[in-house]
Amino acid sequence: MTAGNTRNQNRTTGGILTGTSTLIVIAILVFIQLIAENHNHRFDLTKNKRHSLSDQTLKILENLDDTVQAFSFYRESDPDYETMRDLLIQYSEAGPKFKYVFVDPDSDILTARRYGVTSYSTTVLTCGSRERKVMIPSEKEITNAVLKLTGGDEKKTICFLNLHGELDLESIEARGLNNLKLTLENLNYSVQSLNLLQTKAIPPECSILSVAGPQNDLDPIELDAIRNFLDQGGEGLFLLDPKTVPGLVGLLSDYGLKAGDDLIIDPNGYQNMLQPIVESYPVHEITENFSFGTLFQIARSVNPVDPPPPATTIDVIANTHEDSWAHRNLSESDEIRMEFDPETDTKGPIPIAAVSIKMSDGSGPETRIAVFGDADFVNNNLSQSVGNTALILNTIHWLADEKDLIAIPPKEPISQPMQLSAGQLASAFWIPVVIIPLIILGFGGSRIYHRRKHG
Amino acid sequence: MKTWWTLFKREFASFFVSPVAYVVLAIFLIITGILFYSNLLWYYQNSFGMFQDPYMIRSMNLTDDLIRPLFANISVILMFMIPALTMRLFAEEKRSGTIELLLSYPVRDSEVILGKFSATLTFFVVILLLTLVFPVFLYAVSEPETGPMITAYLGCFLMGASFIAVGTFASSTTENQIIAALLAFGLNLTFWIVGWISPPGTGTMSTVLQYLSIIEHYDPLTQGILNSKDIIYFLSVTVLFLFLTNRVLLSKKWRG
Repeated sequence: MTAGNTRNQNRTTGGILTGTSTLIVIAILVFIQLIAENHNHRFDLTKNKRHSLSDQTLKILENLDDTVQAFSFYRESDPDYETMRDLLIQYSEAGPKFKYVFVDPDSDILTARRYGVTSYSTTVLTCGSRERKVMIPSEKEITNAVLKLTGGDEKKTICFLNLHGELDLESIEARGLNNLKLTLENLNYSVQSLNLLQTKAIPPECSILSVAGPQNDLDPIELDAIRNFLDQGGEGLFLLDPKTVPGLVGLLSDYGLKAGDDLIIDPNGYQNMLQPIVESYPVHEITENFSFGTLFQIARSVNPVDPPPPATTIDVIANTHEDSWAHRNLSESDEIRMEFDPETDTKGPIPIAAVSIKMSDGSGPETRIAVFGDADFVNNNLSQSVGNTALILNTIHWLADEKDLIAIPPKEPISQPMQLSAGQLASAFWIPVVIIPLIILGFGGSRIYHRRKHG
Repeated sequence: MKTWWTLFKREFASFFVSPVAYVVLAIFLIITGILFYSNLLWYYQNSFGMFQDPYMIRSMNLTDDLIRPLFANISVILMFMIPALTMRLFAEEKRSGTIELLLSYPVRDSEVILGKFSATLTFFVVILLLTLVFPVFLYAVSEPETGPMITAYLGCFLMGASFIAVGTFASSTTENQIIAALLAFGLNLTFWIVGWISPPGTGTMSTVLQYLSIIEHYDPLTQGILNSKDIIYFLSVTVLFLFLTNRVLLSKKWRG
């Protein structure tokens, strides 16, 4: 055998061994990746665990009987793409029966048409033949959609009383209620206006009656209709501005909640003293885990009637700041004094929202009522505040007895606005960009110089 | 072990013989410093707006709005910078002919590779330590979340280790340092952008390409999310390219 042949044989053997060993190592690494992908352990090290699903969602996903498939119609350039993707990954990892797929609505037009998708950033959740659309990438929206898909078909109707100067359901102006309406419809509630003078009675499809900021008092016929509705187990949401609707206020007193003839003044108010900020929430199902401030505008107090009516449980759910007070001496011509008057005013904290549960004859249907001392806090303008929307939605879920929907407070990043002095800003530039690099270069230069000088 | 330690010391000291190491350290800090300052300025100005209207402007969060973008930028800089550190590891020895001498010593190829790899990784850690000036500043003026800060640095370290392994491999394939740097950069970039070409949907091809993408595994770490699969991905890339380097060195023997 010649040296050339031996070398060729060595090369062939070496090549085969190298190729084989490389393939084996790659196969082992691929196998490890498969195991790692299927047995991933995820740790959320953010302070408020904002990248983790709530226990409520985890429980729902664990108990899924049927497969829920999400079709997410996003482009990667869509601003919320990453948020939705992060959420869907968490959902699929938490529940084996939750599947998702991202669909490019531009290239897969057929799928988009099939699910009636007409805009980007839409996610369609399907379960069997049922479908629900989710437009906002949040845990609350997705979990509620899963609940609605896998739960019963019942759709609760909220009837908003009108023709007394209430906030307009359809209006997109600052004082309108269109944002709230759309949010409720997205949560599978049916929302409709109610002309009680025409119908004389509250239609049977109304599960919840909402009276949002009437400026004129109600007709006795309307008050009777409301009383009948409540006594038969209907639920009521009443948002009452100061100095309005004494007739309705009287009716609600029979259910344990008294809207005060006063005006709340908060020296630490948002933009002025008539915009109280609420940060104190007594323990209640509605405000469990509630960590937001809520913002009101020209509000009155809502106090429990003492003693409470028989078989009635009353809970205050929101109090103003202790520096605030309820100004009592109101009259049409009176100019409001922005100073606390110990003789007539009531010192804070002032209850601004309260709820009551009244059992009929001790065994009949229970009546749930929520009264807020302001209507504007849910208008299109102020409902942009996260806390305002969360508070009213939690209250409506509680009235509708949709307990599952309540316990998912939205998780937002911890707010950390930063104030810096001119000196701090300057040091943030000079230290890393100039001083430390100069030290490094000086140190390196001197070392190299000494080494060369001394051989 | 003793051989590895000797090789490690020799290789690590070689970084500081020439001005290159000091220039690389200074330039890296200047660039990341400018990026940090510009991010900080943006954050400060938006915070100022938030103080004007706290209820209407979305929340500002140090992790999401400052640390995450900063580490995203740092990772891009590393993609360019690390090939400059690794290009000479084997290419220089090949060009000068010292590689034959080194491999003729009674040392294993794996010890040579690990010596060079760990020395470069240690130098990279020195670079990362310099950037601690940013979190020190943030802790002095605010209260950043410690968990995401740790995971961001862990991600940076793991990504750096992968890039160094890729660079070591690239350097072992050629005696031209420029080609070694370009090859390393090309491979790093491929791992970076491979996810971009994945077709929409969750088919096998899409899943595989997404999984191969470095960003897929790096981004969660910058948000404070620690996935075991991400750690394993980076370690696997590192091990694979160190193994390939070993095969390249071995091939010199059987190719003659």
